[in-house]
Amino acid sequence: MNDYENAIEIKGLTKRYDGFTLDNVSFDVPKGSIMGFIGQNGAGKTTTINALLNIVKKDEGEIKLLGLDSVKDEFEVKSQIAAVFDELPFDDRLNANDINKILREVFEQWSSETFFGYLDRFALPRKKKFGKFSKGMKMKLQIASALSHNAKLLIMDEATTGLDPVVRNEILDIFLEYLQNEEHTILMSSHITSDLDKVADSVTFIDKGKLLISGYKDDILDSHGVLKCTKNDYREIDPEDIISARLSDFGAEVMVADRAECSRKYSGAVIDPATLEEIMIYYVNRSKKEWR
Amino acid sequence: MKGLIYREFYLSRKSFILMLLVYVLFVGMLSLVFISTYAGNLAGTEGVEEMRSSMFSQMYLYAGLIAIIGTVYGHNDIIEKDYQSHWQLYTYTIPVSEKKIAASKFIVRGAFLLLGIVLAFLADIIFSAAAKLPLSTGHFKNILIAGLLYGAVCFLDIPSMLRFRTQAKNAAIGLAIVVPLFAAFTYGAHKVIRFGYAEAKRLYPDLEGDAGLRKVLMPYIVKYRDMAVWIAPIVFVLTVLLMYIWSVKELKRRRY
Repeated sequence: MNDYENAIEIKGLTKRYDGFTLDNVSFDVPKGSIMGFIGQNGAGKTTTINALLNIVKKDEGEIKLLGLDSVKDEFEVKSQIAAVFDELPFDDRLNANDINKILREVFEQWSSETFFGYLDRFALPRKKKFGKFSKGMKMKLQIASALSHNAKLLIMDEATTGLDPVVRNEILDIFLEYLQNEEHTILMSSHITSDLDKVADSVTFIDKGKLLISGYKDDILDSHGVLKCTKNDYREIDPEDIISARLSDFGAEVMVADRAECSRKYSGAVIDPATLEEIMIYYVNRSKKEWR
Repeated sequence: MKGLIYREFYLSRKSFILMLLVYVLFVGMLSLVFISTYAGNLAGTEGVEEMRSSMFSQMYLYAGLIAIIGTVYGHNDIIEKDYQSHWQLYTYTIPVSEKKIAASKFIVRGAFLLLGIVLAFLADIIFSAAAKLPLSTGHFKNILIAGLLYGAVCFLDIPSMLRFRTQAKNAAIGLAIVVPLFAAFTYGAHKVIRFGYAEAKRLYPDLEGDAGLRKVLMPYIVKYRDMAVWIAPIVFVLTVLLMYIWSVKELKRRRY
């Protein structure tokens, strides 16, 4: 039995494409936790996930999944992980019974009982062709198949994108249930930061191929804040404290990375707690410093 | 790998059943035509014996082609659909190697091809019984050659589809290669026929129509057909091996 502390360990991951570089990305995902992986389109989330899954060959760096090398021990790793994408990867002409017969031969630990249990729970038909499934049904099916071979690590790339809030909530509940087993871990890439607000233990934020923030969600939310002030007061703020500032006719909203320190430094100023979405937006605009 | 093989079969089953229906209808109807030449309304018609013999010498080949092409046909579009459905991407996330992914495709295509060749032989046997004509080893050889050469093309299609991803693109590239070859073949056939007519005129001036031509060319056809019976399996096996290697390479290349 392989013993490990972090389900995912990425050190110095670099992948160069023409016009884009995933640059020296490093972060860990502790075993038994759920990490939200956020960033705007083209930030490098999918490249990172594809490198994790050895779908793309990394140029530099080291990736360990469940304590094993993602390349050398690829098949051992892949028998213990599950990947969920934004699109169902099964042919429209197949049905759930077919998938059960196919995947039980692919995964040693496949459990038909678990799979059909999830199908019943999600009210998914067994004989209906996937071509006639709605997007929500397809995603539920994909999650059912991902959770039916006792995977220790679930890697999801924009899996909840395009789903209605009811289905998303249902799926998030399943993830929380899956995490009841402390051996289980989830890496969840998403644009929908409200989902991560609900379920994530830690967050990694990537932008333009570079890692900006990685840590426990509560720490990140506690430390960041939106300082609201007039334009004149804004001029008084130390530029080093500013991630970026949104200016309007009524004043300025400034993202600060050390809320406690800023509260002390700028006494009297209102500093509201920041959401993940706000943190993402302000960091994305950090190069402009001021934006509208 | 068993799961991957099941999958390929599941995705091909509908087309296969439809093909089987067409085959059964074709063989059944033609068998009735053969029977009617001696036990039905065609019996006693002038030249019916010659017509039956001539039909038998052609129809076994048509039935054979329906069987061989039809059985493999349903498996042709799977690779394109694999890309469309993201299955190709998904296979990199499951504990299965590129070798097994390629092997599953080759095994299923090979199984369909073998089944097609067996059905083609079966059609010849049924026609022979229905027409009350003796079975010909020549027919079996022709079916085998057609099956193996078409089979080689079918196996070439697998890495080619993995490379070009869509049937339209694959077909366009295939046509670009096949058209000049076909033109050369047609030109060669034309020259051979001209030679045959010239020889027939010189050697058998008394024979009418194409009888002289057949008499001149038949020994060549038989000779080259018998050579092809030995060459076709070698070409087939080599093609399968090379295409398998190309397929594995192509699947690995997809990990960009």
